Amino acid sequence: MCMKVDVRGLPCPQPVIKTKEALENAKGEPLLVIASNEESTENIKRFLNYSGVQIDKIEEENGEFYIYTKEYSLTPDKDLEPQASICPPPQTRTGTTIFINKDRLGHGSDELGKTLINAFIATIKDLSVQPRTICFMNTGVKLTIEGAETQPYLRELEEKGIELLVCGTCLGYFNLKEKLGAGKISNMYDISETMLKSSKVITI
Amino acid sequence: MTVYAIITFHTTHFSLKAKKVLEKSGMQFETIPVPRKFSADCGFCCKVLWEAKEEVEKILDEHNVQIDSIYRWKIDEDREKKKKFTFV
Repeated sequence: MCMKVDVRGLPCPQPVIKTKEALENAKGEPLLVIASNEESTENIKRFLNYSGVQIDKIEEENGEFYIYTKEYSLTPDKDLEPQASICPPPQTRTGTTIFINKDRLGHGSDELGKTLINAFIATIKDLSVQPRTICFMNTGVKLTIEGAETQPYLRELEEKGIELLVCGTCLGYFNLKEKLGAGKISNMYDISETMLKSSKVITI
Repeated sequence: MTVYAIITFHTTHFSLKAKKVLEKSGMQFETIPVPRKFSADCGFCCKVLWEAKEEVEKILDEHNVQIDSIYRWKIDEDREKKKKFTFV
């Protein structure tokens, strides 16, 4: 007879916490803990060792780990508080990315669209909330070059610490590489990775 | 501290025309959304240095661009640039 504890799919430190609860409830009866990944298994093993509970065997099947303990007696004065520090820090997200892929905002009137994109960038620089990154592609790169109405606003954003990634291929295509006035020349790898890592991408 | 004149227009067509006319004249100006404190309406305005206000008015008048209102905007730009913000 053994008590089953299913911790599959639980985020850290839940697997260890569940194991601890089970240890206390099972009162010495062997446990079977089922975990769905190696990290949880390692953490549970470490916790069991720390608690003085011997592991009988660990079996792996289809990527799932079956941890069998032997019978045990818990030392009553032992502090079984699992350490929170065993969990890796949550994956850091890079915040909001704005993806600007043309030199105007919206469709219909180019004249209005150009004024709108200028106004958009002039406005975000003054807001109390800021994106982490702005990516420029295709004719969007024209907003970053010297002489562009938006260039001083973008410089201001850059000085605040907002990352501006400007597609180098696009600058080359329009023959504007020498005229970059804000941001840094970037590539498809950085731009696509930045977008994928962002918690939110706003496409203009 | 810098003092600007914020010039608003009755319609977006007038604000776009003002932009064109002022670009041709070589005057220093910016077309920006009307700051919230002056009007809750959605629209563009021209931001020019207060000293240039009369000349700009003259140019716009010559080109039949109708002005709605002119506001005086005194702003500490260095302080504005250093204003705190949060990343979202």
